[in-house]
Amino acid sequence: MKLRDIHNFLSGTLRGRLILGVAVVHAVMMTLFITDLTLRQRSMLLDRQEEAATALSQSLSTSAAGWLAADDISGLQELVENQRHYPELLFAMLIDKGGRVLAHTDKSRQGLYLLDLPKEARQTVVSKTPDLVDVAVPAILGGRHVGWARVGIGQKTAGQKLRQITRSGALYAIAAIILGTVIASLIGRHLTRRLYAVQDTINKVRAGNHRARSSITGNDEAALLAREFNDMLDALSEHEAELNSSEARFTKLFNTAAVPLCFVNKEGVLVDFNDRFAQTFGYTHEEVPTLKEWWNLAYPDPAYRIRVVATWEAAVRRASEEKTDIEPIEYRVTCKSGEVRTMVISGTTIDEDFLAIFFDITERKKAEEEIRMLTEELEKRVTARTAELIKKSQELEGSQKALINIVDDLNQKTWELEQANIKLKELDRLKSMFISSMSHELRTPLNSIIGFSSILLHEWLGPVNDEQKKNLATVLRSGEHLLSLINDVIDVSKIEAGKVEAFADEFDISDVISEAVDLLAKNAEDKGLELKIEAIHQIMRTDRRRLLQCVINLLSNAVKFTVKGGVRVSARLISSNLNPELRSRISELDGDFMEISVTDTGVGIKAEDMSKLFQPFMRLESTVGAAASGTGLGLYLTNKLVAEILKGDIICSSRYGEGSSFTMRLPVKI
Amino acid sequence: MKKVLVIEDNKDNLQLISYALARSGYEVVSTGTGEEGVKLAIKEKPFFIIMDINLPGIDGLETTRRLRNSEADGKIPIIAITSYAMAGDADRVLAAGCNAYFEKPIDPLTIVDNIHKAIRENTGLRIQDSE
Repeated sequence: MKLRDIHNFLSGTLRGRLILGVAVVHAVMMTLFITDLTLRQRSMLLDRQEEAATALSQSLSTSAAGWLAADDISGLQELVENQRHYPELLFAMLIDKGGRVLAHTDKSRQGLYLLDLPKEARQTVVSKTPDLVDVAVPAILGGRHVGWARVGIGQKTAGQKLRQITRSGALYAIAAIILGTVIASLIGRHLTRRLYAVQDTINKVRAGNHRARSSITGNDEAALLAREFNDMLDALSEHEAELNSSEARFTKLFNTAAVPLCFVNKEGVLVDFNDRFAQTFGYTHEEVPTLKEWWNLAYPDPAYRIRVVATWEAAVRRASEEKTDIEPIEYRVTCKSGEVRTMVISGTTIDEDFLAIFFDITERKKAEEEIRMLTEELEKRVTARTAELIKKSQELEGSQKALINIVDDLNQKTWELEQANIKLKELDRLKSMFISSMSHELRTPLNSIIGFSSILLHEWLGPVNDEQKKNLATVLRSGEHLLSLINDVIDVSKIEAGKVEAFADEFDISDVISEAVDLLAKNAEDKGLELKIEAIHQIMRTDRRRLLQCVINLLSNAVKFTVKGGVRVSARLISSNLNPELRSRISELDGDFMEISVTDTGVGIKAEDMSKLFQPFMRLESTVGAAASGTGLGLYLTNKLVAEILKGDIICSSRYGEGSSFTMRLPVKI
Repeated sequence: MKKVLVIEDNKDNLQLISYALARSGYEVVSTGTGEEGVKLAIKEKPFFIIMDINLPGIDGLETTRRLRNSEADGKIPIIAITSYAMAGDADRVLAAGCNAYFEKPIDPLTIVDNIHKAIRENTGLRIQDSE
């Protein structure tokens, strides 16, 4: 574990690699350097030994040449013995041409034969090691090879020196490696410290602190890296915020959508569905983890389920091939409650997943079904009704024909009536013209009749006797009667034509009563009748002339139809408030009413005649009928004037044989 | 003697009104047409004029209008005596310029007094009654 940690550290981190790299390179360089140095020294030492050995051998061979030729062994021995103190000398010997050792620093070796002599008489290095440098030099005398000088120099001291040099070289190398490693480590640490600061920030961000930022300043690569890293983090958090908000929106939309929604991944797992889905179908996530469970629960009828699955999968396939949404198709989904709801299910593919969208059309379906049933019912009823109507219509056709005939007749009659109406209007116009002309034409002769008889009767043109006076009076009375007849006819004609207007004056009612009584006083006196006035003083505002005319008419009738007794005229005020019936009859007028009554002790009126009383040209039969003269228009005219000009009414009460009473009730003001 | 101009084409009516006027002390000047009546009025300067409405040629209304616009004293009282008695007749007569009107038949006993009374009320002229 530790090794692996170290390995990881060394090979894994930049710092580790840096340190390792620097240390290895340093170590190799130092090793090579020290090795080279040691080898050079060693080589140099050997060369010096070889030179020493060669030089000694040559001098020995030169010195020994004569002795060899002379074969003087003791002189040779002596010569060899003289070399004994040569530093590092291992041996020195002189050998004859045949290889026999003639002299040797080790005397015991005299007489031995050497086998390893060189073949040719040339200076030869037989061995060259730090322990022994062995050089053989031929001894030449007068151009003749007489023997060999051979010297071996050992290197006990040099070897020691060499080993020491090697040892210290290794020590130096190790020290240099350690030092180099330490320095590399320090440099690495320094260089990577700033990168570690960035790493810290990365670690913080990784640990979840998304707000963490590197605070390195400067212009080196680390600072640049830190800044770019910060920028990247900023961009990332911005992006993340957008993503979060987008996701929040989507989640809210998804959960609060008014239609059931279900998100299914490509493995068929129902990753999520919204509240509406749960409410509508009643299933929980545990019950429908995947489409398989959903299909089993939502479409319990296996045959229907197979059709549904096939339809749905075909729709999904089409959508994926054509890169469109999953087309809406109607399904009958069974809810957890067992209720079957009609849903139109469509969907949107998102990569390889899809979002299923459910439209609940159960109510609409129900309504459509109801409408369909109602329509059918209605059609049935209409059909039945139509049949009935056809029957009725056939019946009616007969009636209609009859009716058409009647209508034709009616049209004909209407046309006739219209013609008659036109004629009547023409006749009415002619009547008015006739009355107008008659009035005019009669007045001129009447002017003469009345005027001249009056002049004669009043003896303007000379005296007349009683007989003549009586006759003249008759002429005058007849003329006046004719005049009143004409006046009445004209008044009736005017009223009927609506040509009479009311002229309102202010006057005292008692004055009008007095005037009327004065006019009739002579007639009453002539008949011996008593005329009595019971009139209050009251200012009225109405048509005086027409009121006077009415009072005179009533009074004149009373006098005319009374033989004995008297006539009483009364005028008194009544409040319309006390008489609702009167008030309602004359609703447009407010205020008090004048009640004017003319009561006589005359012949009276039969009950059966009361209704004819106010009709024109109505002459009642009476005992005095023959004697009484009149136009037959008086009461008719009075009634018309009272109703239409004076805005009042007139009533009559009578007992046949005892007398009559006519009462006018007139508004005080019109 | 004060003069009264009577414009009347009916001789009977003229006779009757003449009796009444003479009895009250008036001298009667008369004519049967409106045109002549206008000339006479200018010439005779009557105290008042009695005007029949239904005249040959220009009628009494037109005659009255001409009199009111003539050289004759425009303030001469004009009394219409008419047999028209239908609604609206009175208005037309007064609108033409007459001071008063009386319907036929007239009462010879009271007509002159009534004329005097009408003139007094209408024009403010003081007239001494003959009786």
